[in-house]
This record gives sequence, C-alpha cells and structure tokens, in this order.
Amino acid sequence: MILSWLKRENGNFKNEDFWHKGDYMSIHEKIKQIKSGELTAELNMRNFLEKIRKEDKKINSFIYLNPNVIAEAKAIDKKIKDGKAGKLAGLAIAVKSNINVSGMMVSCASKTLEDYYAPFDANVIKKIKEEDGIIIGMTNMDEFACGSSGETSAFKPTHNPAVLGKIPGGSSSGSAAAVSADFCDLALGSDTGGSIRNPASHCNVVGLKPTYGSVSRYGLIDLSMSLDQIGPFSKTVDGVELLYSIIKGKDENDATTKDFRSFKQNKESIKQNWKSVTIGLSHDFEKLCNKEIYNLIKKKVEIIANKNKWKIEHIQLENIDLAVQAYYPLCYVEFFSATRRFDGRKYGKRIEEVCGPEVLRRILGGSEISKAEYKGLYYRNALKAKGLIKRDFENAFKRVDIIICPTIPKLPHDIGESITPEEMYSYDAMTIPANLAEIPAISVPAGMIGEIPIGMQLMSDKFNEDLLFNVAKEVEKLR
Amino acid sequence: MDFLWHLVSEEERENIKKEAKRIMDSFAKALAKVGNERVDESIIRTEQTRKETNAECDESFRKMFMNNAPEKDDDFILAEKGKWKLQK
Repeated sequence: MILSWLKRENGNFKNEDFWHKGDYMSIHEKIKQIKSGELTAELNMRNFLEKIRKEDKKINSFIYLNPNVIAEAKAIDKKIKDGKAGKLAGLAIAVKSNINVSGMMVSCASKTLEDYYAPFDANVIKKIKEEDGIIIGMTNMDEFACGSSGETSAFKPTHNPAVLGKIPGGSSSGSAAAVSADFCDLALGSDTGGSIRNPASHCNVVGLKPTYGSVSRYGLIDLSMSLDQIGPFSKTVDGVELLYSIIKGKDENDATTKDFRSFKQNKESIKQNWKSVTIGLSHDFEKLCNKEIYNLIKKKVEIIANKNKWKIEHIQLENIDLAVQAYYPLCYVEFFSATRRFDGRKYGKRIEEVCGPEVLRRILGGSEISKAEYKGLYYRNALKAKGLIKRDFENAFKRVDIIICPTIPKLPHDIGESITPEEMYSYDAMTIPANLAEIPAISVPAGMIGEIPIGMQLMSDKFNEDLLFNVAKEVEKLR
Repeated sequence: MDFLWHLVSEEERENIKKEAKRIMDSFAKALAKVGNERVDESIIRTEQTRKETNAECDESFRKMFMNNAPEKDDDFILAEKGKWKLQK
C-alpha cells in the first residue's frame, strides 16, 4: 500500500513538496488507518525502516535504531486486534539522544556517552509506551544540546531535508529532520533556548516548547535545568497536540511539574472567546529580525486576523534585547554544574577529554564565571534580566492572547560555514525569551523565502497551550 | 571558525577558554544595565515531601547500570582514579 504520507519519490526533497498541502496526512487519519487494520503497526515500521535505510545516509538524522521495533510492532498489532490499544498505537516516534529510553544508546551525540545504554525510561517515554507508541530510534543532535545548528554532533552533522546544504537548526536537529524527511510519525526533542522551535523552523515542521513545569524532565540529560523542557515535533499541529496531551502532567520525580487539574484548559471558553482573540506584535522583536522574514510573518498574521476578525495590538517587550545575554551565563553555569557527573567513573568517559569545541567553551566559560560570581556580575544579573523579561510578558498577556513573531531572525548558513559564536548564539534571539518567561511557544511553517522555509512562532500565557494549538491550526490552513 | 565537531588540541583549549571569558564579559557588560532593580525569582512549593509510588523495582536496572561502568570488580564499580587505582 502506498501511503500519501510516503508518496514522494525516494530522495526527492523538493521544497514545494514541503509547503503545499496534499503531502500531509493528519495524525488522526493515520491512527484511524492503523486502528481499522488498513495499515498495521508492523507495516508502518517496515515502511519507515526502509525509507531510513535508503535515505538517511544523506540526512544523518538517526544515531541508533531500535533493534526490537518489529517485535514491538507485532505486539501492538495484537493489542489493536484485541481492542486494547492506546492513543498512540502503532505510531513511530523518534527520540532525541538525550532522553533515556531503556536499553537504547543515549549518547547525547557525544564521545563521552557513546557507550552508554539507558537503564531506565524517562517519564515521557514511560507515558508514550503506556499509550502503545513505538520508539523507532534515537536521533542525532548537537553534542549535549550545545548548539543551534545541528553541526556540533560527534556523529557528524545532521543535514536539512527541506533544503540540503543548509543547517537543519539545533539542537534537536535529528528529531526535526526525521519528521521532515518522513522517517517517523512524531518525534521528541528538548528545548532550552529554542532547540525544538529552531530546527522545526529550518526543517519546515511543527515544534512545541511547552510551559515550564508542564512536562516532566525526569530522565532527560540536562543542559540547563532551570530552562529545559521536553516537547514534540510533527508535520502537523494535531500531531504535536496529541503527543503533548500524552506527555504532560505532574511527576513526583520532577519537582517543577504542576498538577494540570489546577490549570483548567477550558476548551469551551476558548471556543466562546474565539472571536475576541487579540494578537500581539512587537517592534522589539522586529528590531532583532531580518526585514524580509519579519514582513512575511506580519503579512500572514494580518491574513489570519482579517479572516477571523481578530484584533492586532502592538506591545512593548523592552527587555528582550537582553535575552541572549541573560540566557548564556545561565546556560554556561548550569551546564558546567550538570557535566560534573561525567567524570568517566560510573559510566562514559571524562567529558573534558573527549568533547568538541562548543561543549568545552561552555564548560570552561561556566567554570570561569562560577569562580568570578562573587560580584554577581554574571549569573545574578542574568537572573535579574530573566525576571524582567518574564514581567514584560506577564504585562503583555494582560492585553493580548497570543504574541507572534518569526521563529528565527535570520536565514540559515551552509553546513561547515565559518561564523562567530555570537553569530551562532543570535539564531536563538527570538526563541530564548519564551524559555526565560517560562511560557509555551510553538513554531509553525509559514512560508518560504526562496528555497528557505520560514517558521512562525506563537507564544501564549503559561499553561495556555490549547489556545496556541487552535491559533496555530489557523496558520496551518494557509498552506 | 566552523562549528563542526573535532577533538580539541591544548592550544585550541587555551583559545577557547579566553574566548568564553571574552563572550561572558561582553554579555555581563550588557546585563549591567539591569542595575539594582529587584525582581522576585522564586519557586513556591506548597508540599515539601515527595509521594512515594508503589512502582515495582525494575530487575534489569542493576544489570544495565553495571554494563555501563567502565571499570568494575565483580559486583562493584571501581569509581576511584589516581592514587587508589595505582595501589590496586
């Protein structure tokens, strides 16, 4: 059976294919096919494995494939026949290599952990397995999530299926590329300063960074624990919405998670207030962004606002120009602290002896500024700036429901091209603010500049993901 | 410079250290403008204890954990380096 999901010819990564509707199957349609028996879980896995075998040599999105995937699919098929299958039954889910999946290689794309096999399941994996999702493999990424381009992996860079030769974005490069290239149904990534939304934008797929505290990080190998969140990738908003609904919720093993029952996502009230949605645009984002990219996004916002009779308001976010400068001291210090366990004793190798330049820069930088912190010049001031940015967003959400801007402020560079660390860090100028403010944000494909996909970022107030999904679906309809 | 992964030489290591400090100093300069403005930054917890679940112990955990250890002696991970290791 040839699925429309897989209908592109092998290796034919034409950009039009990624933009126009018709190449997409909603995740619910796929689930329907599997549950009706039109497509078995086993055939679904075999189709993906065949495609990966043929095409992943040039994308390099997977580091490790699940050797038991067919046996697991057969067991799910039996559950489907018995009418006992869960919500993700038979779907292939790719997982970033910094999330523990029992028995699989969780290398963080590093030499440090290249021999490390996870002895337990992260909370999110446990939930996916409970709903009969199948982990197809572990994806490539920037080494220890240190990077915004997908280039810093010790297993060679990930390539961008949407525009070969250009960076796929990072750090969840392999997860975004695997979804983009149709190597899986859904994927998981982690987002500390944009590591889900950034590659989602470059690879022309949908990616969500949930509210801080909505998804358990138990079993995530952390980059910066005060900012990290695990989130989903899909080709469509409904796929992201589905996977998020499975992985969210309080976990006793992650003290930052909250009980969702106290944050009622009232779908009914969203429906009732649908006509009074107010979109926020900000010149403070516009100042940080390439003009052509910003104008494309602004035009799309005007189209959806006109269509739905929504109001557009201009808001001030006066401290977001400090986001990058606040983020990196926090990240350097917390990453330095997190890596002290990689001393080569209990597992892996000593990190400083086998890591690449970007990981070493963050370890050495984190060590230096930790020693110099007595004046509060780095971490303490960064925390203050984080607080100010958070306050800016809290004030903005008193006036508007959704804030929209481009996901990435500039066009991607070629893989292997020479740029400065500051230029690399500036890729995340639009995504970092959501991490600092602890709010949810989603990147949705919004168009092309030449051959380059452009993502639109939508942000809402904390725990208001349902509104994000509904508005993002309006953007999706413009395809 | 490109961002492709490679092992770092001693000379490059020194340069990276200096560069990291330079970047952090330039960021600190920008952050100095936040001045003494006080911002509340805290996590408020209403519960101070963790609820224990009745989850069963995974029997394979110990075996998999031991398999990851670079050096072990029967049922023990040899976690010390340097002096103690030399004595052995």
